[in-house]
Amino acid sequence: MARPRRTREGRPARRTSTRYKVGVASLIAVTSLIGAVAAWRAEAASRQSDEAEQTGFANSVANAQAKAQIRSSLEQVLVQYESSRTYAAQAVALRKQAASLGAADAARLRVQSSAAAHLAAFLKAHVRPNALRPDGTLDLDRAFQLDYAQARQNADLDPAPDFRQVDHFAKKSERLVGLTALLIAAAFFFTLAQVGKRRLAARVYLGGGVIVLVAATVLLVVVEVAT
Amino acid sequence: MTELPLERLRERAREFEEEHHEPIQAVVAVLIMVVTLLAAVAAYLQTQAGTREARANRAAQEAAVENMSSLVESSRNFSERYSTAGPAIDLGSLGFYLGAESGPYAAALASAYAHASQVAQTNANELFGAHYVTKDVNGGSLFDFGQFFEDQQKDGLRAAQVQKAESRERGDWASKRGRYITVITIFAVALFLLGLTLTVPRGARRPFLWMGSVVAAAATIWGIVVFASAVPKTPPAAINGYVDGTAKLIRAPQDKPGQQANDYEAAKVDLTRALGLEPDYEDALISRGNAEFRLDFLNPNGPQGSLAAAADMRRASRLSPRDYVAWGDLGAADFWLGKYPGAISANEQALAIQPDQPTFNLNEAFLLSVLGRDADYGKQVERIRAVFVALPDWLRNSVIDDYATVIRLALGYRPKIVPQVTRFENDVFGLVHQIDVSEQLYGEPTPPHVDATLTPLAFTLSPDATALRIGFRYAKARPADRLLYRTYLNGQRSDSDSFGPKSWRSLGFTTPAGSVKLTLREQPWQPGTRVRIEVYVNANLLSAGAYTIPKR
Repeated sequence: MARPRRTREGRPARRTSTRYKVGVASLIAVTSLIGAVAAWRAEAASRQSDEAEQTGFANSVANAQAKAQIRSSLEQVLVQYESSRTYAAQAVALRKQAASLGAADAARLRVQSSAAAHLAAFLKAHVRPNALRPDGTLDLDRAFQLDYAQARQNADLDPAPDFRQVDHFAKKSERLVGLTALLIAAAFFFTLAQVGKRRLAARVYLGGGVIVLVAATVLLVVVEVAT
Repeated sequence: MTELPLERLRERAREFEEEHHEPIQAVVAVLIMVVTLLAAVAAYLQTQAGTREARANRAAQEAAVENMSSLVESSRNFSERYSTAGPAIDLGSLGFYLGAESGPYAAALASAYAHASQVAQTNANELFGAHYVTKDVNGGSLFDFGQFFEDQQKDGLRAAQVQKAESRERGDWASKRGRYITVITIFAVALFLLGLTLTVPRGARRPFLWMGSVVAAAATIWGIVVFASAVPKTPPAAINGYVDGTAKLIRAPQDKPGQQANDYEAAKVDLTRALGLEPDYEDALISRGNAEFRLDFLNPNGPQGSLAAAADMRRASRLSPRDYVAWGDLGAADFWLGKYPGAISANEQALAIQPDQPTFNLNEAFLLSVLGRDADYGKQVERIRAVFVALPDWLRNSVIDDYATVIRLALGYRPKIVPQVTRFENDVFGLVHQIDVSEQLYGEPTPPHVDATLTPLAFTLSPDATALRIGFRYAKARPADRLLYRTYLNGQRSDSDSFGPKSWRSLGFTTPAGSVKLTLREQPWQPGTRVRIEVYVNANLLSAGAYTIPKR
């Protein structure tokens, strides 16, 4: 009658038992499943990061474009305002000179002065009111802020939140990839435990695989839930 | 003695072997697990490096957008400055011309315009902020255009530097990622060797175990080295120092000569600050070397050569051996130090990287002429022709006009090489100017052949130094051949002292032979002025000469 083989410690060798094999195979299956979930979540985080980056860049370019358009429109305001002031200065200087001339020349200068003053007033009247302070001086910064605020009402021009999202998802994806690598290692250890013919080695593989599996699963839950 | 069946004996032998070799199997199992986990860590670090690479890439792209925006912004600021200052200048000019008219009305109008111009100028100057407004001696408003110009450079320079720094960082992370992949591959090899330990006959196990362990150890050490290797990041304060210094460097030529030395000195201070923070900041080294180099040009006793400029350029070229500007500038710095062999060696490094760079091609011919390598010099002059023919005229003329300063300083302060410099000037400047004249007259860089010949130019200055006479004789001229001469004063073309093209016939000269006397007038000619005349017939440069007005 055959007896079960015994180890040096005197315990029966059970590594080839069906229960052991089924147990390790189940661990491999569970590990593979969790690894697939981790890989899926890593890919999803990576995709979210890419999408946020695309949005961020689009907003960044739109922001630069909006600012450039506003500045261009304000350049016209600036030139108009400055022309108005130049004609006003001309009107004042001509009127002042008229006082020192004879009647005929004085009249001609006054006509020129009047025309310059009218033109100055016309140009000033067509300067955008919200680009002027209450005292009539130009405030281009205020006009820019108003226009920019308006532009931001109509479109998303701020890339910063998107880029923060990019960093967040990239970090998450990076961690999940690391955990996937750990789970692959665990599956590898279980496989070695399954096919190994040496009892002690198989135990080491099995123990190591269980530790790595548990650690990686806990971390996976933490990464997924906490972030 | 009991006899055991054969099968039983084999089983006992296996058990014996298993019991006696279990420890080595356990070691292998632990090693395989450790190596696998290390490979997993390396995989994680590789992913992390990829994320950093992507982030640096994004920052570089953002900086590129910022750079374009700042260029648009500064261009608009210049445009705003010109359009707001323009009416004031127009009014002032009107007042000036009306002042030359007679009658009280014109005088009153002139006065009114002059006054209005001052008011408009004050208004326009204040538009860009009080810090740009200064006062002249009469209390009038002045616009500090130099400071305005400097400030307009800064945003673009900063964005360009950030873009460059981020791109470099991206490259470094990509390299790090690549090295992690190699480490992972080596771990895989180690795993393979350790795995073989389990399958080979007993006698061969230990060598495989050792090989696997050694390879795993090597991969681990390399992984640690890769992990510990820093990805350098240029500190923002160093970039600011570079931007401040380089903006001053760009501004300097816009300023008056008396101010330029101050600009270069201030630039040096800023760039030294940047280099204190980042000693290997190559762009800052090149900029500081340029500031030193330019300062040396402003030395009242002529360029003495700048050891500091050469040291900065040398260091920059070592840091970035593919930077042809660093090499070329090093060649120029060595030239003014009198190190001609070193200069040509550095210049040839620059040309090896960028063979068509026009200034460095000029430097090459210049140095070959100075070193007396006549055969190479002749080939290089031909090379210059090929390079300059391919350039647009504005670039060709700009390069050669700038080079006139080099000729002037070399002729003035390097008496030992005056004949070589003069030869270079006649050959190369004549060649490039002829391309320009020929393209203007015929639309081609090479003019049609002419039979006419001219004698060398003879210069005579009148005793009161108001008239410079240039004489030459000609032969084999045809009546329809067109004569043209160009005058260069201190290297810069003077259109008012140039003439042509006009045919011999329309000028009333006899053909086929005769003589010509040109007279250039000044009130009087300033001592030290160098007058160079080039005489062309049908765009062929047939005679050229230079004369320096002597001290009286």
